[in-house]
Amino acid sequence: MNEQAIIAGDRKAFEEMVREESSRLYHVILRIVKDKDEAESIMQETFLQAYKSMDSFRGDSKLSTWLIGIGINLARSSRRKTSRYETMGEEDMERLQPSFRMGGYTQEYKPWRPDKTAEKSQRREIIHRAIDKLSDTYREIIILRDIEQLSTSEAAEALDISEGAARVRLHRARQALRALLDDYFGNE
Amino acid sequence: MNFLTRLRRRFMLTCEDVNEFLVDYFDGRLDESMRERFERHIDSCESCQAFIDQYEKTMAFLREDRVEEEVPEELVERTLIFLREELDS
Ligand SMILES: [Zn+2]
Repeated sequence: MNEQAIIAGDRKAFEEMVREESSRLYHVILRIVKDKDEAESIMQETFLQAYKSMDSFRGDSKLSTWLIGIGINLARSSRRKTSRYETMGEEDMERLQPSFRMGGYTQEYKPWRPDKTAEKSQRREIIHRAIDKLSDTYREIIILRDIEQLSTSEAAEALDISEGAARVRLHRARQALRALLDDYFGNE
Repeated sequence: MNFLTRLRRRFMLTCEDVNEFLVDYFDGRLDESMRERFERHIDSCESCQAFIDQYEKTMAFLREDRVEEEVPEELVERTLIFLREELDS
């Protein structure tokens, strides 16, 4: 991918980027909006907006990371326009964090039941339902860091937050997800 | 972080300290002496072992959920056509 040419407005180079980046971008957007047609149209809008606002690319991240940032913003506003999701609020996210007393966990944790985690397609379904419940900002960092395997600093750049803030958010998001999965995979 | 917390952490970590360092631990960002204290705590703490086992499984389930396949070629073509129409009009 020739970043210099793309930044300079070269259409051919830009189309090359469309070919290279479509898959990851589409999958990230689809996980947020959960509708294939909507995901396609947001992806197209993302590329268009990127091309038109190339001037605002600061060059302190990779172009592909910047592109994902635009896609996430568009997907988030689309998601907020509809109410067919069971997104939890920030207070719920707080409630799902472990608590401590005198430096120790106040709750006892038991290993997950292997018979409940064993079946892959069922596991996927449960994971998807849990991700859907996360608050928007938690869902986004989980998608970028833990599913798409961007580095923590790339995820921070895409979300336009500091690396420290990304680490805290990632930790809290994983812990919220762990608690939600515990309802399915735990003993009771 | 206050002085006493920093001082205490030089000798021993609590479960809460270990919890706070989980992201850095899995990102390989803890320096050697901190990693040693971190692992020493876990080796002798059943609570942390159980919690971290769930935390790690959560990460593993997410990692395996990644879609490896490329999107269909038609989708890419439609996108290129969309862009040409928008930018050339
Ligand atoms: Zn412990």
